[in-house]
Amino acid sequence: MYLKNIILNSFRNLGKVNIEFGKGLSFIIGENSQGKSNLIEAIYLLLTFRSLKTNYYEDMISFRSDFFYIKGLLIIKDKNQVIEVVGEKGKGKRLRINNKIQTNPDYLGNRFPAVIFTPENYNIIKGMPSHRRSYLNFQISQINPQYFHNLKQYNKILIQKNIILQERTKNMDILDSWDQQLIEYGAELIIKRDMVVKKINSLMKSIYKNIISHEEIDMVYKTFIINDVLSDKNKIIDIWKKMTLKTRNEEIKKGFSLYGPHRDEISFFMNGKEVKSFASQGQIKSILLALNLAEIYFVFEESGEYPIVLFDELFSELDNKRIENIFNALPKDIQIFITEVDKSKIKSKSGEWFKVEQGQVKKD
Amino acid sequence: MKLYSDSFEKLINELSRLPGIGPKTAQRLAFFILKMQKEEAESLAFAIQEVKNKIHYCKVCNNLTESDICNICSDQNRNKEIICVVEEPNDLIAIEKTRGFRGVYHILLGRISPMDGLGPEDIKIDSLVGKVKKGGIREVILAINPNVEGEATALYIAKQLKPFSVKITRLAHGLPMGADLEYADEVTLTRAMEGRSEMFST
Repeated sequence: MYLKNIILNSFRNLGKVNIEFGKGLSFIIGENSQGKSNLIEAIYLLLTFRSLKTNYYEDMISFRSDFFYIKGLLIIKDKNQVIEVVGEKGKGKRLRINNKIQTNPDYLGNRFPAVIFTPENYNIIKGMPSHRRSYLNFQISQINPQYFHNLKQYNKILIQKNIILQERTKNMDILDSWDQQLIEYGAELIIKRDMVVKKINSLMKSIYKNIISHEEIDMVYKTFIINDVLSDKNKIIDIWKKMTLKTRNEEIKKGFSLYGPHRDEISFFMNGKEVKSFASQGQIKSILLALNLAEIYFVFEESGEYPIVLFDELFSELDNKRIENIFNALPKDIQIFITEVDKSKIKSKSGEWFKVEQGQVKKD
Repeated sequence: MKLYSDSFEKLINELSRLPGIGPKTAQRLAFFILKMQKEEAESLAFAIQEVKNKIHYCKVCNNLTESDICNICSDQNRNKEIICVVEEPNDLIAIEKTRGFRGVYHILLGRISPMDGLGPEDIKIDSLVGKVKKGGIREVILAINPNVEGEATALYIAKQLKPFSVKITRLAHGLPMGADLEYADEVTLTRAMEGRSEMFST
């Protein structure tokens, strides 16, 4: 899978852009705040219909315009896919694939998987638990549409249940109807999360050891049910049901749902110590890169297709040896976009070069 | 600055309260009504008044009717032992169009949804339980929409009816007829797989 061509209009500071990309490496060179990251964001939005920095699409519209437009030509197994994303002031953002408007654009499944590094990724380790949950949800949804559906249903049920708990209405019998569904959908989420964290973790561990350093790193999934039953749906449902009955009065008193995947966590460890509490910025970056590489192989194993890789500000805080190791660890048939200020830092012989200057993108 | 006269603005406001009608469409409709013949406009107003005056809910099943009891409930050829439970009168119409169902209906006039302020006591569940309690009902078919609110409603009703000796069934979820497996979305396909049925079952 690769992005052959992109056309942009009025996306953040980028003016009219129309460029062709190669199948492999693309280096995007430019001084700070010329639009490099905006180009990465546009590609990411095109592939995933998600934004990076803000969830509010109007912020992505250039101040000179009332809309932004992104069009990409994607080649998947020799087939052309034309993707268009339009954001219009006051009208929301829309997605068209091969000229067909998508009625359910947030639905990620079977779309175009992407792996991304941006400075925002530090939140996966240092941010709030909700950052890690949404990271995990994104990874699983990209390869499993059923998961995305279950997640949406779960969130809706949770809202409905919490309203009953908050209102303390007289008829608490109705809680059973919501709990039964919450548990059913929640169990599916737990099983998938456990499975995916284990898969990505085993890839990440060996990648880290091979290309970065000898330390033992681990990503661990934590939920409210003991680890050894997490692959067994019936057992999860059984345990959860019992907990629900036992804690119902407490839930009514507190006014919210005490247990469920909406309170899950993932933690990162280095030699058994939690990374968040001691690791340096450089160490965290190394772990995040190992995680990115693991995601690439994970998507490939699950879908048979390599994702498109976007690395924004990859090289800062990394020494040349590590950069070289990372390049060597990347699969060959994969499209990668890398932004960089300092051209001399890149020693790659292959690849294409693009220059970003004052919102203009040109082949170099 | 005031753009419209009071009465015209009032009409636009009233029209924009209708579902699917935004301020722009409301304005277009209001202009259209303004240009109508007087008799035409009055006939529209009268039709609105008339449905509000004449149509009410059936005393037995909550269907829309102009008499006390609706056509279906008063039909002697209908099997009163089988009740099909639906959310709204238009769901009833959808099933009636199939001509495949010869039982009677019970319309809930809503579904349980706490975020819309609707609990079990706000829809017609009690009267359904009352009917079943009275006896003479063999089967209750829950034909409620397959979303989380519909599911919560169905689970709650099933629980209320459990003490009585009545068969409780619900519609199958799965693939639409004429669909190609290749093009079915994965969620539907998974549901259809879970709800598969045996061929030649006896």
